[in-house]
Amino acid sequence: MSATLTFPKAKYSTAGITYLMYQKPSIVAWWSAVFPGFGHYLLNQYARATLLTVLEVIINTGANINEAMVYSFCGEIELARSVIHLDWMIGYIVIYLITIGDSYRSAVQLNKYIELSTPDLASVEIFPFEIQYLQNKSPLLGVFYSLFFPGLGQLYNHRIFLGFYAIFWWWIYILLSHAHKAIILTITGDFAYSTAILHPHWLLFMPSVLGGAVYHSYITCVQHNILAKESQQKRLTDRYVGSKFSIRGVKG
Amino acid sequence: MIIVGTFQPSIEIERALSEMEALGVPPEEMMVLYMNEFPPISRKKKASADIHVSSFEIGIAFATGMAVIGASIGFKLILGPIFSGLLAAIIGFFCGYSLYYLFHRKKKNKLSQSLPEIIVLIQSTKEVAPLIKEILWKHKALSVGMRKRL
Repeated sequence: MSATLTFPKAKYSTAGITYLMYQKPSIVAWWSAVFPGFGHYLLNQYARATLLTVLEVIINTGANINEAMVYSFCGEIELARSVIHLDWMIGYIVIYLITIGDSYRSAVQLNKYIELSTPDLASVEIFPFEIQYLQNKSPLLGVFYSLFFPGLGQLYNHRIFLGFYAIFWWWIYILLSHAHKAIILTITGDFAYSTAILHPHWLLFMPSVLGGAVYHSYITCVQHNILAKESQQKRLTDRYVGSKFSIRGVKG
Repeated sequence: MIIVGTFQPSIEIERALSEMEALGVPPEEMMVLYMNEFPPISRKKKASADIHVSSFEIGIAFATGMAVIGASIGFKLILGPIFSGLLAAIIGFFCGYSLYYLFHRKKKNKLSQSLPEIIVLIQSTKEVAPLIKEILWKHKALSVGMRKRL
């Protein structure tokens, strides 16, 4: 017979703290729709989430989905129709929709395990190449870090590989879309030229990634704070039960 | 003597406890107590129970959706896609945030937010009591109380 039905709800690793905590399935599904893989990041399924994001960039680029979106929102339906690569389109739609469905289903399923989990977690854990720890964090600071440069909020939360992964992609988007150059040109008043140099395909990844990075770092801060409190409560109430404590005190 | 200290959750309380143990107070003569709010937040939905967290959740979801549309349309506007996207994101965030907040706002006991959450009770002899008080204050106790045996 197994000794216990419960399991620890969080675990440290070199990459950060991986944990099980309540996630609203509809919110998870929404982030999967914004960028396939982002929903799985919220569920702490970092490996499949990262592979899904790579896949999204490849097949979006193949199918020209972002260009088609720009033309569609601008009302140029004919242009949108002509720019899409039909070889890629059906596969894109299938993977896109099933990723949303899968993240929703996973969120519902993982939420069922929460009541079986216990907050058994030390305050610090030391690895050969990293030190990971829990600390009360400010969610707003996490938001600002990722708002300035996606990935910095993830570093604030000690998700080191995700942090550098996001920073790497953000640089790719900046360099291929010329977004930062366009900002400077707009500020100096050269509106027409700044719009002309922007590359719609790479620019259109940016709002989704920025929003996703901001939300991820915000909710991770909030959930780290809950983990810090719960695990401390477990540690302290287990150790300081006051078995020799009398409310009348000892003589002296 | 009975000494009582109140704390907010942070690593300081653990440093205080370990210092008192080093001073010779056995763990059995200390008691840590966690105070709950009323009504207790259900454990499962703790992360989403706070109204500002949920409002932010909806706000940033709106912002991201609006930013994509704003950036797309921006290619036709004089403002350009970046600023039109950012503007749409800001508008989206405030719309989403305030819509959720206004519909889910409840009357809340504001006092409970500032109350201490953790209480530490220590039983000690008269001699070490001042040292214990000092340790509690040093580690950011919110308040410290002491009284003699009845």
